[in-house]
Amino acid sequence: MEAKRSHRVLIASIGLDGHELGALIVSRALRDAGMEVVYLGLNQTPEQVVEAGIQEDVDIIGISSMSGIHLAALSDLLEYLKSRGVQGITIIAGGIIPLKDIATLERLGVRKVFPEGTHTNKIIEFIKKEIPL
Amino acid sequence: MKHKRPRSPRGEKRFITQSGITLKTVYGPDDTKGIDYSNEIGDPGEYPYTRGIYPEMYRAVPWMKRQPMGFSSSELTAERYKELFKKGGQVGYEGEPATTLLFDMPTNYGYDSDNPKARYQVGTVGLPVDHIEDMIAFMRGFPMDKGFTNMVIHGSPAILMAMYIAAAEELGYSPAILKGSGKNDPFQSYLAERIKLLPIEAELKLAMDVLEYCVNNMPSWNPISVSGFSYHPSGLNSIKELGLTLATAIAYIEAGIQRGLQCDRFAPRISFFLSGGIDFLEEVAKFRAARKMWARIMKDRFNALNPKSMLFRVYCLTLTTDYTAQQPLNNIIRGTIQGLAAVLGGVQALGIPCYDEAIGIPTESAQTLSVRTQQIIEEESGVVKTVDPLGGSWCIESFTKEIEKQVYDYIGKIESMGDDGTVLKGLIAGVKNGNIIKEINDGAINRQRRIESGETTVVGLNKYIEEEYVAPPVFRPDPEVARMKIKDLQKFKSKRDLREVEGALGSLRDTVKREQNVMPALIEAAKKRVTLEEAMNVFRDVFGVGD
Repeated sequence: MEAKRSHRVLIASIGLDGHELGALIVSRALRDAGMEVVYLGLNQTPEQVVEAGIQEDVDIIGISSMSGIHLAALSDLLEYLKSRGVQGITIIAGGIIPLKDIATLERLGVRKVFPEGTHTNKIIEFIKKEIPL
Repeated sequence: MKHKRPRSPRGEKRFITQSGITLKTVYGPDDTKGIDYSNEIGDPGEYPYTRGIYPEMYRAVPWMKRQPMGFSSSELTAERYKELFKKGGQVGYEGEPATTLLFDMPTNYGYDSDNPKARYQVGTVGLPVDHIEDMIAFMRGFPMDKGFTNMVIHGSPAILMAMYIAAAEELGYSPAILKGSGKNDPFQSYLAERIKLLPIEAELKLAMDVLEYCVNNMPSWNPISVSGFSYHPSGLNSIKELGLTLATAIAYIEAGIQRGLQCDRFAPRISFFLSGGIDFLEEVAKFRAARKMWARIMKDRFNALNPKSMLFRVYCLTLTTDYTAQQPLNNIIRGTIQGLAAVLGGVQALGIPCYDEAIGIPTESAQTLSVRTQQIIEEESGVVKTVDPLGGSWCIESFTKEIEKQVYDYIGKIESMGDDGTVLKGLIAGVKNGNIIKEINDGAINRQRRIESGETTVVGLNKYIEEEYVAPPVFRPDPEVARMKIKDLQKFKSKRDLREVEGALGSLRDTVKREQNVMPALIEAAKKRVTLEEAMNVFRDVFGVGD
C-alpha cells in the first residue's frame, strides 16, 4: 500500500512588495505540521505562480497580500489558472485583507481567506479537513 | 522563611520585558549603585545626553509631528499634507510644514509606472515618482526654504535625492538651503524591506555619494537617516533593533571616513529613525540608552570633537505590528501608549500610525485621530513640563544600563563577523551570508509562536476575543489614477528631447564607470527628463543586480 502522502503547498507573494513575514511564518507552520512547502517568495507575477504550481505539482497555492492589491492580483491569478486548464489546485490567501473583500475573493474562486491575526493552526486545520488529497 | 512567589493573576510564568529583561519585584537604590550621575547620565543637553539632547527639551521646542503619507498622485499627496498641516500635524519645530513622504512600491524598486512589473502597484501605498515633474508637482507650493522634507526611500535613494534637488533648483531654491532628511540606508533596505536592487557594495557606494554631495552642498540636510524602525516589526526585539541600528550607523561613519570625509564634518548630519513599541518601560529606556551610547561611540570610537557629532537625533514611528485587525479601535489606545513612551524617551519627531493600518491604507479621519493623539500627549498629559521625568527611577536607570550592555554585545557580535575590526566589514559579511536575515526571520517566527501559545497577550487577538466586530471604513486608491499616471508618463516621454536624454544617460554611465560621485550627473539627468528607471538601468547594467 502506498504511504500516505502529505499536502504540497506553494507560498508566494504577488507584485513588488517587501513584506515577507506572513509568508515565512505560514510556510514554517505548514512545514512543522508535516506538509511539503514550496516557498516561491516575493515579487512574483500571477503567471509565474501558476506555472510554478503546475511544475511543482502542488495541491494548494497560498498567496500573501500585504499592500492592498489582493482583488486585482488574485482575480488575474484565478483567470490564468483557468486558462491553463488546471484542475486540482486550491487557492487560499492571507494578509491585510478587509472583511468585505473576503466574500468577494471567495466568490471569485479563492477557497478561503485567512486575514491578518489568524492562528496558523486554523490554516492547518482547514487544509487537513477541507482539501482532500 | 523563603518568600514564595505568588501566582500571577494573568498567568505569566516569568516577569520579563519583550526583549527578555527579567523584572524584579521592586527596584531600589541598590539597583543603580555604581551608575555615576555625571558620567553615565548627565543633565539634559550635557554629555552623554542620556536625559535628552537639549537642556530644555519640549519646554522649548516641541517634537515634530510627522505622519508618513504618500498617495497615488503628487497633487493629491500635497493636498492631504496641507489638510493635515492645518490640523496641527505634519509640523516641524517652529511650526513650519514637515513632510514624511512615502513612495509607491515600483518607485522603491526602481521601475517606472509603465513597467509591467509595476502592475497592480502604481500609487497603492505611496506616491509614484517617475521623473522630476512628479517631484515638482508635489513640492510646488511647499516652502522649501522653510519646510522640512523627509523622504522614506527604500530603493534608489541617490536617484530620488537627485530628482528632489533638481526639482528644488527648477523651482528657484538653492540646494544649500534645503532642510530635511532622506532615508539613505542600504543595510536597512536589504535586511528589513527586502529590497535589494544592486549588490550591497554598489548600494553603499551610492549612499556615500549622497553623503559626500550633501556634506559639500546641503549643510542643513540629513543625508543618512539610519532607519532601524523596521527591524523591530521584521522580527528583532527592541534591544537588537537598537544594536543593529547603531551597528549600521557605525558602519556608515566608517564608510564616510574611508571616503576621505572628516568625521566631525558629516556625523552631525546623521539622523536616526527608530520604532516605538508598546512595552512602555523598556521603550523609554531604549531611547535613553541610544542617546548615551551614540555619544560614547562618537567620542571614544571615532574621537569626535564636535558635540553635535554625538547627538542622537531620532524620529520615532510607533509600531503597527502591535496593532490588530480585530477590534481595531483598540489600536488607538496602543498608539497612545507607544507615543507616550517615545515622548518620555525624548524623541525629536514622532509619527503614530493610524488605527486602521492593520486593515488597509489609512483613511483621512484616522490620520486626524493620530495627530490628535500626539496633541493630547503634548498639551494635556503634562509630561512635557519637565525634562526626562522618569530619569532617576531605579527601574528605568537599571533598564537603561542593561540595554546598553546588551547592545554593546550585539555590536561586538556584528564586528566579529568581519575580519578587519570594522563593523562595516562585519555587516557586509552578515548581509551576504544571510545570518542577519535569518536572525530577523527567526525572531518573527518566535514572536508569532509566543502569541499563538498565549505566552504573549494581545488583547482582542488571543484574549478577550469577540467574534463579531464592526469593520471600519477602508480607504481605496482609485485604479483610474494609476491608468492616468501611466498615460501622463507616456506623454512626458514623448515630449522629451531624446538626444538630451541619451546624452545625460551617457554621462551618467561614464561617471559610474570612472567611479566618480554620481550625484552631479544624476541631477543633470533629472533636469534632462531622464526617468527613474532609465537612471536605475545604468546602475543595473554597470553594477549588476542584487541577489
